[in-house]
Amino acid sequence: MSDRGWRIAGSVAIVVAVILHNEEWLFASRGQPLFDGTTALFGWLPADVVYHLVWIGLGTLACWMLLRGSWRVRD
Amino acid sequence: MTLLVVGIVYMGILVAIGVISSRTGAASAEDYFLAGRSFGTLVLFMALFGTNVTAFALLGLPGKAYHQGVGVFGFFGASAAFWGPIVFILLGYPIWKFGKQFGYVTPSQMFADRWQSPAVGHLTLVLMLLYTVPYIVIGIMGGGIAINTLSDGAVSYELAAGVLTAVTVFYTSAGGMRGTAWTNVFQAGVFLVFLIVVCVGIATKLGGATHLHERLVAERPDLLTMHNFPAGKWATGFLVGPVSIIAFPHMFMRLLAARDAVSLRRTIKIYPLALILLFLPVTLIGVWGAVVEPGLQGKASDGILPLLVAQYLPDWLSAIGLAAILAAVMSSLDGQLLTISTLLSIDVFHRSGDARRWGRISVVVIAAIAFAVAMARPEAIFNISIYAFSGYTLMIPVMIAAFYWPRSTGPAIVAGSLAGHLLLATYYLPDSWWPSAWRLPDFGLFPVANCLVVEITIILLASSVTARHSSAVAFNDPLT
Repeated sequence: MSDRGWRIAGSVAIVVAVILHNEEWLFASRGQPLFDGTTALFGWLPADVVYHLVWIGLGTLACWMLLRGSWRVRD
Repeated sequence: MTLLVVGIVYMGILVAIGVISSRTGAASAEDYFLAGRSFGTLVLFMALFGTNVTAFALLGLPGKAYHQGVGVFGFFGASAAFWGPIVFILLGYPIWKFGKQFGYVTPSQMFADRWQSPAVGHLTLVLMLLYTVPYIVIGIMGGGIAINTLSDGAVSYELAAGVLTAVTVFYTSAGGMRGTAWTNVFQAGVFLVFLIVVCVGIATKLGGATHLHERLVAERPDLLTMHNFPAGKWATGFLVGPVSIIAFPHMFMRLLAARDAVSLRRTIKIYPLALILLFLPVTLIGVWGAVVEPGLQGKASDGILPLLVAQYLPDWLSAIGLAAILAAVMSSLDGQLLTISTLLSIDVFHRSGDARRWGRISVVVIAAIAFAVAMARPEAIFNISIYAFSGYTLMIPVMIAAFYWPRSTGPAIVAGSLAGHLLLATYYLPDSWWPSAWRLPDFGLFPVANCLVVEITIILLASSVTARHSSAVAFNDPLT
């Protein structure tokens, strides 16, 4: 994929991540919570925290795509 | 006794780093204020992270989670972990790139040069001073209050604030940027390790993390959702903290100190992980505290972390906790002091020739003034801090215009900035100065959102009717 393509893909991923961050919007559009907040991953990590960790993962992917398509530097 | 020993050892390490740093490097302005633009990944990352994290993370955030629940992680932590790297990529890299290319040391130099407009430079300088100086006072006050509380009043507020100010002034003035960065490596390590150890320790002592979660479900299920935050504030919260970090002058100048783009790129990759390692423990400690030690009202919940450490963990860990809080306070204070001293030495006194001497004098004078103000404990200063965060955010359109909009003009930047910052002030001025009836509605959002709309609109319109300076500097290819 071209640098321009990576930048566009990264920008789209950022928009998706922003929408996911605003879970209240998604909550309002569905009329019910996205998940049961009292559940927990591994029995102790609250579902709401897990939700945010997941979208941060997408956000990190967005950053990686932006970097891939912009700076002419590789580590 | 343990508290005293750990405190002395901690301060001793900082002084030693300051002394060693003062014996390395040249006497030039670039070396003193930017460590010769030599920071590799580790030092750059720790310097940025240590400066960014304040005592609010260790005391205020667990206190907020105590009342508002796990949404604190999404509102503060996830937002910062997402937006931090993005602003570093889109604005941090151009700051570093053009700073190195044109030899800029301060934000004012960069923006004045970009538009060939002394007015833009002066305005940037005034705004940076306006928003940063109160932070130095808050840092001193926060440290003094924390030590006084943790020592059960054995160490007075005045003595605590005095010692932490004196030690910070010593290593900052002695070592310049190099000294503050190396102390930040140590300090960021101290508070990160402390938080993880405390989180695991408290969970283990209180029957395990699973047991604590079950208690939350049974006793405080309301703390397990994010609905304790208004939707409008949630949607615009990223504008106040996570995005504005790139406009903090102390962050800006640390970016200029990067050795190369590879160091910056690696730092960006590590940054979100470090923020998660910071925000996850403080959130969990806060909500666990709500079931283990219920009943704390208002700001009293800010003491939940030290309270849990004191109640359930060994004494020596309380002492390390003191060091961690000091680390968070001092790692921001040193960066702010050095930055203000740089702005004064370079932009106001134009002393790049004997920078080291002027830098040291400035650090001492600013710290003395800030300490004197901190002794008066002005209540209003905490309101100013919220205002300042929004003020930094209003610097972002200026940065975007500098790097990404060649058609922007100096007069438009001045007009847009003045409008945005003045409008922001109307939201935070006391009612006696600016009656609340005169304020524009905030539509349930953070007021800075309205101010950004006004600022950007004026910059766009004014740029279309004013002429570009014929010798305005072109910042070409900001992302390559």
